[in-house]
Amino acid sequence: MIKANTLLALDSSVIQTASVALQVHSEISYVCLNDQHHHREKLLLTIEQLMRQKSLNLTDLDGFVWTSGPGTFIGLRVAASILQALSFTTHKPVYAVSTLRVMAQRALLNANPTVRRVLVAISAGQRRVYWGVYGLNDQKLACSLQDDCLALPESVPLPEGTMQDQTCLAIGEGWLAFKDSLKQCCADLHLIDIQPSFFPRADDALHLAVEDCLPLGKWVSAEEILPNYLYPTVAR
Amino acid sequence: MSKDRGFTLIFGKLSMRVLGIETSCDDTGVAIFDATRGLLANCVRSQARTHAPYGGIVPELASRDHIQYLLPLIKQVMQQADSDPSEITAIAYTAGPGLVGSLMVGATFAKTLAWAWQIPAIPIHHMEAHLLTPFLDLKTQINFPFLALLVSGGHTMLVHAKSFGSYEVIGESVDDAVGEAFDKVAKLLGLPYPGGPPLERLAEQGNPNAFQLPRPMYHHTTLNFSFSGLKTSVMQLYKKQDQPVSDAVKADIASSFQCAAIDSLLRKCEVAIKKTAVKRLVIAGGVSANKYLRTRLEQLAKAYSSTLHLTDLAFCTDNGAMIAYTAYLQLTRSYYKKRSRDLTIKVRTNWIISDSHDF
Ligand SMILES: Nc1ncnc2c1ncn2[C@@H]1O[C@H](COP(=O)(O)OP(=O)(O)OP(=O)(O)O)[C@@H](O)[C@H]1O
Repeated sequence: MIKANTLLALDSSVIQTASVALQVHSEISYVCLNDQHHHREKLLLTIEQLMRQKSLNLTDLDGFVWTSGPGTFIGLRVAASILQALSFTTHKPVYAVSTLRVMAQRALLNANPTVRRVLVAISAGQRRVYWGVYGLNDQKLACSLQDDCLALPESVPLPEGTMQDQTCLAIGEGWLAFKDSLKQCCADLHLIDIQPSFFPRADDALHLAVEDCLPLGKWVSAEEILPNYLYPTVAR
Repeated sequence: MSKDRGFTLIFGKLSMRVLGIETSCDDTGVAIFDATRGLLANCVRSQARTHAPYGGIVPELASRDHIQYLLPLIKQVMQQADSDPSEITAIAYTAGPGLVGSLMVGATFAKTLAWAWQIPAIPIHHMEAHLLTPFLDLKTQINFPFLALLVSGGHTMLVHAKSFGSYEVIGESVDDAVGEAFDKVAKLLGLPYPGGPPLERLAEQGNPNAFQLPRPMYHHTTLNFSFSGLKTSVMQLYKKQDQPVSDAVKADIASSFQCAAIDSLLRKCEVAIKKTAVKRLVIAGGVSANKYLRTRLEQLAKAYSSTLHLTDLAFCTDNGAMIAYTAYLQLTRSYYKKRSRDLTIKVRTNWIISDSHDF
């Protein structure tokens, strides 16, 4: 297991926000950038400011965490470029968490305890959504019930079996853009609320990394820090 | 002076070593240029294979390749140059013009690396770098003023370089870039992408006078170029031939097209020499690898008793060496960028060359 007292986490996987979180022992500092047009430009600056506030040097960090997608391509690559460079210079490893899982984690922990499933949808362009279905495991960590995928809003897949008996919550701005189609697909489910203004946060990624991944040791080195686009190839 | 300004003091001697990163379009290039030893390493990963199936550049695929191959290339040049991170005194990166997704990868990586290594990050104008490439060694003296013909897949322009950082665009294409015309005609003739080099090889087997093709804007008094009319004429000419078009006819078409395109370039260079009375001519960019163009320019230079500076074939297309070299020139001439420590990540997709020292 890697010593992980000091960790830096980044999210810039959606258009609306970007965020940075820094964990020093059990204390977490968090900065969210909401200026849609400039948040990517300011990501590195924000990291520097946060580190300076905490009087930390890069050499003090034990590792890095990021939301690796799915999400906006340029945003994912900005985070990936920053982390590749930082991991390369510090020789410290990186852990990647799914953007949809990070969103589901917060939603499940904050929701009314009857909620057992979270349906995450974010717009993917070309009239498609990134789609994930999550529940909590015994350790209170979000777990996917099927692979995150790229889907048409009219035909998002649902896991086989027990979904009908479960209370569900819908999150992500995909639910605003494609509300009717998605609702229709989920017509058989017990959907109690739709929360479109729900975005990934770097501190939740940090939480998942510390709780779940550190013991599993799923760290990667700098060259392996690549976005999970979910768009396998690009149409012309 | 200190490392803060891109220099470091080693045994009482000023030393400067620049890591250059180029990701503006479809080639990932990284190089290291040293102030006393010149170019130490230069690696380019061409994305031709990635884009070939599409017959042109797919911007999203270009960005994906950059993020995948940039770090391995950096490691490779560091190793080839036998260079330790502590010996690098500045990082130069292409900040524009180019494709936004591609530029962002290089700019973000360069800024972060420079921050981590506590050295300046220098934003470089891609076309200024092309224009200075013929001088890319420590022996060749750069003498201003000169005229530069910049010809690539994205640009066709004539620049009057008055002094370092003072560049005036005196002519440019009003439509397609000449490299783009080469690529499109090559595609029509069934040649692989990028089409410039195979088209040139095919043209060598043909007759340049086999077909009469237009030279748009040839007699205009401006120094502007136009290539889309020529391209359309070639398409029409091709359709008129007996199908399937024989290899011999294809070679004649390639040769006639190449001759027409290069005639247009030459004509404007000649007018520019006459208009400005500048006696030094520089040619750079991907199309400047074309042997026929090089020969014709040599003849032109001779006729006007001008000096011609050709770009080494290895540096005609996009590369990191020209980026590192341009930063080296800027740093030695104290064009130190105040904002080189600024950590905001910015690129300028439409950055114009007359503004190249103002980022
Ligand atoms: N021998 C040649 N003859 C003609 N054209 C050539 C030759 N070699 C390369 N080219 C052309 O040069 C272009 C590539 O040049 P380069 O890499 O400098 O430019 P780019 O990346 O397309 O654009 P820019 O540098 O303007 O951003 C292509 O269009 C290619 O077909």
